[in-house]
Amino acid sequence: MQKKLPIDYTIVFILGCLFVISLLAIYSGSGQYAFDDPTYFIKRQLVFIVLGFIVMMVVAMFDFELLEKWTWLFYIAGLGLLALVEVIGIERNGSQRWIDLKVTEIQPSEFMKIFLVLHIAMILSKIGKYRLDFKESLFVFMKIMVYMTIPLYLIWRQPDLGTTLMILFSVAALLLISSLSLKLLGILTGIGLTGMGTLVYLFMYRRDILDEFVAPHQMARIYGWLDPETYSRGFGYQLQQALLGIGSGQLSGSGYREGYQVQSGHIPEAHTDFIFAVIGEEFGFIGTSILVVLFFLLIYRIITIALQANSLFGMYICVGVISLLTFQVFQNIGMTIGLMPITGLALPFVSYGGSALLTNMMAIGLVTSVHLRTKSYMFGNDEDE
Amino acid sequence: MVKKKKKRAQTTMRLNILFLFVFLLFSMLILQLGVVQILNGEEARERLNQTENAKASVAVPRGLIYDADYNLVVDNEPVRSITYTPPKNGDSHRTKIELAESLAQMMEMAPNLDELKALVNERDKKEFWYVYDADNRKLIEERLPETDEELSASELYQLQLDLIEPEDYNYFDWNDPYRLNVAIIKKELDQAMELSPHIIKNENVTDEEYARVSENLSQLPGIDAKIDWNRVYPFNDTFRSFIGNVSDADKGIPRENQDYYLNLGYSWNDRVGESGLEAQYEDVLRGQKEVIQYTINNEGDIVGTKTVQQGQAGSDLVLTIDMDFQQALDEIVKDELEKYIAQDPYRNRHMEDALVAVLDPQTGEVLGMTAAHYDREENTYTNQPHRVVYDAHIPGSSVKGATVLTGYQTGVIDIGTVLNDRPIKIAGTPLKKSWRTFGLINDLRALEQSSNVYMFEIAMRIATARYSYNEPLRSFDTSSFQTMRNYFQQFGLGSKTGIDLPFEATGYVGTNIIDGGLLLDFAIGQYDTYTTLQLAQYVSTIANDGYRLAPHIVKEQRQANGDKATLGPIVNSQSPQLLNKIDMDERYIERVQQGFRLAATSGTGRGHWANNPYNVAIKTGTAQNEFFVDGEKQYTNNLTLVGYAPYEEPELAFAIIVPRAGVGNDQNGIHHNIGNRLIDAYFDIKEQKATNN
Repeated sequence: MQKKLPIDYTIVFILGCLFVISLLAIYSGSGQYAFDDPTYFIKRQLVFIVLGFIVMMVVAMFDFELLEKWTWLFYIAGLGLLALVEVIGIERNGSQRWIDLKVTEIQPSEFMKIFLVLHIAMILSKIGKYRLDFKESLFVFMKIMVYMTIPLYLIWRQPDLGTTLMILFSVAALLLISSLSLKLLGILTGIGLTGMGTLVYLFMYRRDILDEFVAPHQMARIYGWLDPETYSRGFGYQLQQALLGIGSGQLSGSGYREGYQVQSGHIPEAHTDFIFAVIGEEFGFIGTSILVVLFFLLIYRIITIALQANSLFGMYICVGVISLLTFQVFQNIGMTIGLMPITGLALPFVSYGGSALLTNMMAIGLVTSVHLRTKSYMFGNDEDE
Repeated sequence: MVKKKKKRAQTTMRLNILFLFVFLLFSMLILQLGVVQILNGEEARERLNQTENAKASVAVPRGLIYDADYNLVVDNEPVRSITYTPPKNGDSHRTKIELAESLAQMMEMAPNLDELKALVNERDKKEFWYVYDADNRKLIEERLPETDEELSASELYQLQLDLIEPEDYNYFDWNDPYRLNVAIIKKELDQAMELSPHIIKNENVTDEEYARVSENLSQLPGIDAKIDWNRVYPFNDTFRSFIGNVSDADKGIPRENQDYYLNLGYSWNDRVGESGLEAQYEDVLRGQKEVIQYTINNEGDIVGTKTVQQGQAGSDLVLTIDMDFQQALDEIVKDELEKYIAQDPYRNRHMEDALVAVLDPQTGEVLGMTAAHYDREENTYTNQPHRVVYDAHIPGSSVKGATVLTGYQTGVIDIGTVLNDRPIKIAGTPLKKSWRTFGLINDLRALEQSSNVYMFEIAMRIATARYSYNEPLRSFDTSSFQTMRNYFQQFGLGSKTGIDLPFEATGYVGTNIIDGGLLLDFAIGQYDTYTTLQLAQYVSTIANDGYRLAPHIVKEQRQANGDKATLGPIVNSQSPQLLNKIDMDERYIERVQQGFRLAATSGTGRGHWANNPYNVAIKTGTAQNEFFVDGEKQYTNNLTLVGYAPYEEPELAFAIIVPRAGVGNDQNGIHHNIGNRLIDAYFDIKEQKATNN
């Protein structure tokens, strides 16, 4: 056991495939931004990948059970970083999300989402496996809400709608899977659905009320998403161009570095948020389905680990990671093909960018750790508690 | 254990539900990808490949016009111009300012500082300052007052301009000629429409400016240094109104006919012949523009250019007109009109025109057309040759040749038919008679002496009317008006002559067909009106043995060869165009020819023509032309003369009309004088040219 590397080979194999696709797509998609050195972005990304693996293995080596006691520390650290963004953060594209570390920039909201998931997983695992009654549940729920709302508010203010929604999604997933009272979960689900229904209603019929609460640039993105033709010179433009590019890829794609939309610079952020458009246009439906299947296999693998996990904390960690990944993948791909409005979320493991990659690798490291501990238990005497 | 199992199952189930949910989400992705890439992929690909073809045309020089002797009548004078053609969707203000700044170093928009300043008003300064820098725009936007009012784009713009203060735009030194030039050029650049050349400067472009811009074209996207042309007329106003006009680039194609021109491939600011020969021969003179096709992708970038049509300069025209003769004609007519008006200003107080058309009866070539017009108020004489085809007048007895021929053709008279010339009185109309009562006369004498009654008899016979003194005409056939007009039209009287001009008048056709007296008037040229050209065609048809030819002004079309001194090869040569042949035995026409000859030698024109050496045949006319001025009836005569020479082998046929001459014998010389002098001039010039060659 000790001589083996602290990795799960299935996950590493899937990640390897994703990274190959990522490097290919970044190289193709970043051509328009690279002035002198066309390999600038992939060289940096390669460094991040290596770093990512190291982070993953380091995290995996730790016994995640030990983390249970320290999650609040990470949580506080994350909050600190977020607060720091408020003070010294740098602004880009109208959002203040980054801290300049001179060597690179980090995006604290990326780390915060993992820390928050960890912390909530800890809280939920404390409940144990028995269903709580309504009152107890309500108390736990309120506690979780408080922990969630503080960082969520800071992230919302940046503004970063994508990460906000991602965190909401993950917390919702954790709550639904938890041992909270079914009654409470039912009510929460009801409230959630009613809330979404209200938003849809407001958007359709009372946009003036919505305008009070939503920043104009966010509204515009929603308009652009709903009606790309009309808004094709504004925010819908990005979507319009991405859709055209992906569509023109058809079954087998236009060929590597042959995509007109990508290479002519019509797709914005082709190496980061819109990297899926590169894959869609240049590798076609075959390429995109392989990518989606890879993500699905990754999540399938994590679910398997969660199912096998005999630690509740471990299981919740897996569920948190699954929900984070699922939301990012669905949101990112969804926005480029018109299923979701445009938000600034990267495609995990594929988009260029260090912070997101490191956080995701950290998450995989946690899952690996859960997996490794499960295995070691299997050799031990764990049938009885 | 039991509890544990239950718990385990619960967790597993919840995870499985989560897994199912993830599966559903990913399935949605795959499904939507299928829709986007497989179902709609083809369409997306087509839209990406979709390109638009835009065509741009490069003008070619318009064809020149030469006279029959190959002297330049219409020339092109080169005009240097600096133009700007914006790309699809236009250039940004920044690009245009940079262009203007480059151009301002190469050219001046006005010769001195004061004139430069005059071209830049306050609004121009504001606009220039406003677009110069994004910061300036931001500054003004910040000054905009908060308002809920919905402003239209133009209102908002006006408001923004109002908010610009002098201290803002005086950021620039408006006494600096360079800055002024930049602003003026920028203003011109703003006026240009995408893919359509706009002239920045085309007046007084110096050699130096032209050279500087030409050399730097590669650094000046959209800018071109071109040589455009202006029409110049070496013979000034001679024949000018027939040559016509060409629109300028500002006016472009006529808006009332825009569809017609656009369908022919013209663009809005193309110069086009608007009148006269310039309009009639537009398709020949314009040549063929060079057409360049730009291929533009869905983003407006030009991805390819191809010359789809080679340019071809417009063909040159050669006129049938010898400008020496035309000038002589202008001079003769003006001179005679001036002379007669000066001679008896009171009696000739309504005389103001003299019109002449001269044709080659054997080919239909127009040898000359002129009309002098006297402007009494201005006391000036002007050359208005278009009146020859535009103005119709009562011709009087000149048409009697047609009346006699109509008599022959309808069979109511024959050669040598003798009729009794005596006064005719139809109930309710004034007495109708010849200028003298001739008694029994035949057809030949009737023409020689211009008998009215002989013509009345012909008309009455055609109308099958029975005449008794001071009684109404009985059994008058009202269709006889149409019958006579049909025959007259065979000579061109009352029909289009077919001349190669965009417009010609056909004269007034009387509408009363019941009054038999009017048919009698018609027979002596006192009812319908005709243009000078129609009369010329009529006499020309008689001179040409009954062959009616369409008059034409353009003899040849020649390919442009870029050299004004020599002519290019003939592209098209105008051969005589036969409109119709008078359908009767030649001896009848010869009979009328004899009558016309007699009129010159022993008849009505004897006094003026007996000594003319060129064997002229003529027919005179004196039409009573009465009209009212301030309620007072004015009595004038239209003096007309048609004829041809030489009688045996006619080289020229002519018609002269001098409307509203004073009543009295003194005036009767004018049309004869014009006729004599034009024949002399014609043969003199001919002889002169023969000896020169």
